[in-house]
Amino acid sequence: MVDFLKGATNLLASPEGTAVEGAGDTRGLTPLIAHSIKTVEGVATGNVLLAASGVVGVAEDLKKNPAAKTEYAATGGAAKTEGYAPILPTGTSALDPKMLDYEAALKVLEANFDQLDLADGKKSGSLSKDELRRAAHDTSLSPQLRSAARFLTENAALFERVDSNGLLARFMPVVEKLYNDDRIKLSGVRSELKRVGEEFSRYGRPERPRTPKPEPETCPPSTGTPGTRPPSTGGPSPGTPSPGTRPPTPGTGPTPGTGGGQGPVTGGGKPPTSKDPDFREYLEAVAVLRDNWGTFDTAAGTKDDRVTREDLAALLANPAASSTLKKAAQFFKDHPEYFDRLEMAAGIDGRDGIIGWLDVKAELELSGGAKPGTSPTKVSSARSIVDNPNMSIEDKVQAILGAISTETDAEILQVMDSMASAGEDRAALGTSDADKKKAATLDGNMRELELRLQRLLEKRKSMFDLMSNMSAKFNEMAKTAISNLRGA
Amino acid sequence: MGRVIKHEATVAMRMESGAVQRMKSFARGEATWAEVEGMTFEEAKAIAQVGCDLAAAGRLEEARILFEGLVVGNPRDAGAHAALGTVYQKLGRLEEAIAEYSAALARDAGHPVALANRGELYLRKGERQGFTDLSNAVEVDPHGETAAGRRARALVKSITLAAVEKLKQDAQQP
Repeated sequence: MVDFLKGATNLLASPEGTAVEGAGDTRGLTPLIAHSIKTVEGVATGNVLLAASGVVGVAEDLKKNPAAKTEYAATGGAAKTEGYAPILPTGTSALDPKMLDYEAALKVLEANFDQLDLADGKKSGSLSKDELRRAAHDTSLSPQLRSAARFLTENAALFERVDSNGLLARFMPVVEKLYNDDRIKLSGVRSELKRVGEEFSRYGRPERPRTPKPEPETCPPSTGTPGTRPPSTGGPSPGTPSPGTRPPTPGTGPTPGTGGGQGPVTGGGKPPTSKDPDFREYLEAVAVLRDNWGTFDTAAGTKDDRVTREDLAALLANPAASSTLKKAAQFFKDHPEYFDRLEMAAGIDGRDGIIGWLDVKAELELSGGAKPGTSPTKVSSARSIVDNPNMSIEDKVQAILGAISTETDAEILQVMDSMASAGEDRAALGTSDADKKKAATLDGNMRELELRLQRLLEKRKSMFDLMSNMSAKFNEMAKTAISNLRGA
Repeated sequence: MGRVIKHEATVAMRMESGAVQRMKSFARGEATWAEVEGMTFEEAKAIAQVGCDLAAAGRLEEARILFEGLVVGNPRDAGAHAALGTVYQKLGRLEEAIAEYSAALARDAGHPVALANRGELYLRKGERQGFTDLSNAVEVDPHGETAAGRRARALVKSITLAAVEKLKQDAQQP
């Protein structure tokens, strides 16, 4: 293995070699070489033990460290990151802040696509620039929908992004030209939303400029007239109505909600929707309310199987109440629009300031929301989606897949947390033997975590692909059904 | 990129905020492809770790592809050059290995992996420069933090032992 050493030795010991001149005099040589020379001198003086240990040690070292072992040793100091992208601090992003409005507009379009498509009285499955332009000036539509349509008509380059985006465009860029027909389709919108999300996660979410700007939102909920469907956007797959299930409603009054239910918009402030950042917290608060119904019910003193604002105030004033309960009560106090939404969830008695047990149950069923992170509730959430009579089969499948994706995302975050803490532990270790052992264990753990992360990411990707494929299939089925109906 | 952007006056130009600017820098030779793609050092390190594991498992061709990718992504990364050199060395592509080590040393003259491995290769070729490289490797990695540094230390020790013994034998001969 080390036969080349003989040649090297001859090279060094040759009369013209510089090492020869230094061999007798150790000045100018590295301490290691000087020490080795002394060891040889020890051999000459009869110190056998010293000589033996030296030779054996060298052989062992060479055996332990084979030639050309592949290792990545980064250059020390700041130079090691030279040529790599800097780690952006939180809140900074290389992306245009306009992408935030773009994402919001796409979400609004996705949730109200069918409504816009039917605005001209026929369903074509796609929206042209002219249709969007008309929608931007259509006063019968909600301001959010109008601003979303306006955004896309004003930003032609972004319109082209959606226009040329299709199911296969991500994998075969050549196919983009086929999709680029100046009409946007629902599948394109969804695919583009996914792409924007990926860009945000990769390059960081840009910060919105300081100047106040009307933010596009999904349609507000209706007042929930008795006997009609409760105001809800319908869980993870927010209220995209099944094609053909709702007739076009041009000029029938104010904007209809995304989940059906038409009527005048009431109440001031921002209407709660599933895309609202507080919506998750709202679902958690509802779940707390459900789990502690008796406590909420009797907070004001009497058990009447209903929760009012007085009950919430009494619970907040009660020093013996737990922080979880107080947090939920405080949420409803701070967000009256969510209180209104919940009290009308079952569609009983309209807006009367009373939350009934049926309201809580109906809201959790409709939103597909339950306490996140606990498996029994996950099961009940899936069950509630499956049993929900108000959801189409497409919505149910998408909602369940969405719930699974959420779980995977949570797991990915957990693994990344573990990796970060393992990395920190590894960095804090010194060079002692005990630390080296710990470092080896940590390295092993890190590799396991990396593998797990890789598996999770693959799972997430396949989940997205499945959802995307299913969306496309449902879309095709709907198109076929509509064309058949036309032909009949 | 796979993105179709029609030229619509200033609107299309607004798209040029992020990636396009980086692409221009890359075209001018000011930025690396890793910077264009947004690859951080931590990501590169994770990829390199996978490459090292592959090489350790004997999957040298896959390791070669990974490290070649890293070198293309950031030619300024001396560590990636050196790691690619070790893979070439194991594949028997010794000239390419020396070229990679030299490239690593051009960017970081004190890179222990490049010094140690190039030194060993030079010694195999019978070039005196090899011993200088090995000595320098021992100097820059005195505590043997890298496997290459430890090997360089052992090699220097063994060469010196043998050389001095040979000198003594020569001196004893009439």
